[in-house]
Amino acid sequence: MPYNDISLPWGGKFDGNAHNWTGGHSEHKVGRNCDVNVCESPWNQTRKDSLAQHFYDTGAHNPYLNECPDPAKHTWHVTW
Amino acid sequence: MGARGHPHFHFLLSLGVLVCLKVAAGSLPLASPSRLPLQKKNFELGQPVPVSPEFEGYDNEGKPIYWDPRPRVVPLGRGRYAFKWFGRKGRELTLIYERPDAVDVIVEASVATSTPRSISYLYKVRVMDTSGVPLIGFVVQTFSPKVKPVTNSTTFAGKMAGFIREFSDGNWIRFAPFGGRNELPPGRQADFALVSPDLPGLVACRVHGGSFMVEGVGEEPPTALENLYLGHDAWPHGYTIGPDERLAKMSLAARLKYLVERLPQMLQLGWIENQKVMQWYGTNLKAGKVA
Repeated sequence: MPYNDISLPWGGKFDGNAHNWTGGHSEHKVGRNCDVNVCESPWNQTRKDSLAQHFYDTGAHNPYLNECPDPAKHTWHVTW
Repeated sequence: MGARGHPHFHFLLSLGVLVCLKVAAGSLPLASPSRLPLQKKNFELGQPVPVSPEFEGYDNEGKPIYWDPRPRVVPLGRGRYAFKWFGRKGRELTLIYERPDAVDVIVEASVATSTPRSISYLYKVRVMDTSGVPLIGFVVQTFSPKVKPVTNSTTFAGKMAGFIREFSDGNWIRFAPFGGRNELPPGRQADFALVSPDLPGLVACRVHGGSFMVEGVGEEPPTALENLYLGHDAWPHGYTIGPDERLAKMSLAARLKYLVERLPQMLQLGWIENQKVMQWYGTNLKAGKVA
């Protein structure tokens, strides 16, 4: 399961590809956000529910899910 | 060895007596315990503090790109809010935020010994009709590494991460309704259970309510709105009973002292009817009359 656009622990974008901190995700700059993609996982309700429950166990608030017509593009935006 | 032969039986019994108030107390009149709803801190949720225009990055010429989401909050009542902002394409977007503390809950616990080394803890978690939002989780503190939550197709159980300040003391188990909408609406009750060899002590518990997950609107909300999410310190808080391995290491005198020290808290929680009853317990426990 890919985790991406994670912010640095004390804030700031994680610009691993040296893009000079360009691009979107301005909200990923305060050290508590991460996007979780589900494209490499089978997508079903039980897996979705289980994942959200584990987000809560690790301290997440308001797991935010953008569902797309193409399940490969579903994305969680998680705020800890 | 039967339950009565278990070395900790008398202590287990004495705590059960205190919590359930089902002892024949001589001439002392006892009423049913009155459990209080979990307590709240009632944090204010106001308008977002502008972070805008938010820095987005740099364009190809190295000029900074900014985005002004113009966030605002519209209270909808009963713990619900519309979080509004203008997205990157200029369209106004809305997500519904539900406060985790807008849930009113009463927790009732009981213990039973099925075998001498297996104590079952049952938590009846009732969502009161006054709740503005459904319950989505119940978390109970334990002081035992040997805890086995009971799960099934409708109950999820996990362990709260210890790096969260509110859950750093002990081993906190989080139960949640599972499947369907993953929530327990007002007026409903759920039973959660765990098994442990360790004796029951006074422990803390918390609940949280609101939306199990937020339905996305295509763009992620701006920082100014995410800053408004209430933290774990806002989750309604109370006390109940749970396994505590430290009790088995105590002498009888130390266990009685443990109980006596917590009598005022039990009175405050409504587990003991009044001051007179509390004094009766104090007198008898200090005298070593436990069974």
